[in-house]
Amino acid sequence: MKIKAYKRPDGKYGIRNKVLILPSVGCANETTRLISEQVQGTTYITNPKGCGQIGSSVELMHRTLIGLALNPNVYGTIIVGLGCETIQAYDLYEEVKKRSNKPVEVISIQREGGTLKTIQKGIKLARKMVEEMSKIEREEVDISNITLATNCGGSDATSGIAANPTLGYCSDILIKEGATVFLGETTEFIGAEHILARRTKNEKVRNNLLTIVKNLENEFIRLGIDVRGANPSPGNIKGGLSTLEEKSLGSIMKGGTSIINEVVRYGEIPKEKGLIIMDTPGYDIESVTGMVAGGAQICVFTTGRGTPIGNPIIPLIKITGNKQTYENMSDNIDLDVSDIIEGKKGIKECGEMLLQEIIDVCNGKLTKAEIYGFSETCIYRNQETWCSW
Amino acid sequence: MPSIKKAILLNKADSVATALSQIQKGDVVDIIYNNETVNRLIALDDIEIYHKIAVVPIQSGNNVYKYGEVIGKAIKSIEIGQCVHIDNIESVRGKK
Repeated sequence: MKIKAYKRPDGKYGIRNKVLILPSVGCANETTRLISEQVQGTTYITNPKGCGQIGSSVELMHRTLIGLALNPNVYGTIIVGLGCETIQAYDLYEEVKKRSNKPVEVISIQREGGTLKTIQKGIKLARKMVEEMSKIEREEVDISNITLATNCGGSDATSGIAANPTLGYCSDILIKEGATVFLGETTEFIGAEHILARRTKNEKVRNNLLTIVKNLENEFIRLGIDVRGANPSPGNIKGGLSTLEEKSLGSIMKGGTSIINEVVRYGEIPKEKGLIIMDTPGYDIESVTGMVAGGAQICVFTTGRGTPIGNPIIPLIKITGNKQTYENMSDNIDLDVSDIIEGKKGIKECGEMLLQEIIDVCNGKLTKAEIYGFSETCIYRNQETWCSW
Repeated sequence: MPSIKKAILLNKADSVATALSQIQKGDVVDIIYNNETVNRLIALDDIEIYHKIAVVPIQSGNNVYKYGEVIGKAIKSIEIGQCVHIDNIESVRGKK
């Protein structure tokens, strides 16, 4: 199976061609936005923190920001720092340069002397980088160069019967072709992890998988939190999902039936190919952002209740098995697989339809969220910064 | 005569089926497995589209099965044809 993609200096292939304006800290978010808004061909993310963080939280933020810049859809990056923050913009710059040899620039608001000067310099650098980027052309490459992110959001009872098995069919095919697939949302492994554990490559992967699930479940128990409310959420419950286990059993079908080769942390780039578990939260936007940092160039997002979300770096193909939802939100959802529920089509038939859509989107077809310019991002924080309550 | 509705069973071992349309109390419900009708029962409750209907009696405290797996336990005794949802089942996992 072949697709047409953009070659990067690190040997990876992007299916989109973007200059990323990347704030190393929340204080640089608005400056970043103004630079990006002035220069077509750029995109940007908002940073929820980048300062006031300690320990593993710093490591997670650092890893994720680097991962976003290394994403194959990114041609080059302009890092915008404030100057005094925990996550130092110049450190990010050095690491991105060293690890990818992709174009990268760095500017700092305190060093440049305020917003106006930073924006002026940022726009100049971005304009030049976009011009260079515009000269490269797509070339035909094997689909094994693709990493697919899978995610579900606003699930209902149709998700586990139609949309997730359809995506699972595609996950299996892509993995057979040598590609990589991320399965995440650790909350939604609880009650279904025994099925995943049976498919792990070795004891180490099995232990890593069971450990992330157990640690999360223990955390819920320690905090005395009733997980119901988030999982299943009020919308999940309205859509017919009654328990966490029921949601999980439907959710894991997104990853298909392949052997699990590795378990990676949030935002971590895997060493292995094939099916990879990423430890991500159940919150969709955080989960997808982590997989983008892990190197996914494309995401298939299944939904029951419907959702408009997109991502600034990768396209999200949205599919639903709920006919009413598709009719209600057809301007947001790319593919309707409700024929599975009605018994009119099988999972294989709908899976082939989704596979073609994945190939088309890899080759440049725009998703509905991309056409609207939807670009939600949220980097997960494993610790909150400090006050008493 | 009430109309015949449909609900799909995902695994032969399941205790619940998923309603394929809005079901009213008293409706006749055909239980479909692999595109074949394997059972017929009477709905004892109104059931929303895609919500669950019991296909076997479930004692309070017993496991509830869907996809051939445990999705939680009954917190009330449930009769065939009753709606199965948050009022009568709950998660076992994620809590003490």
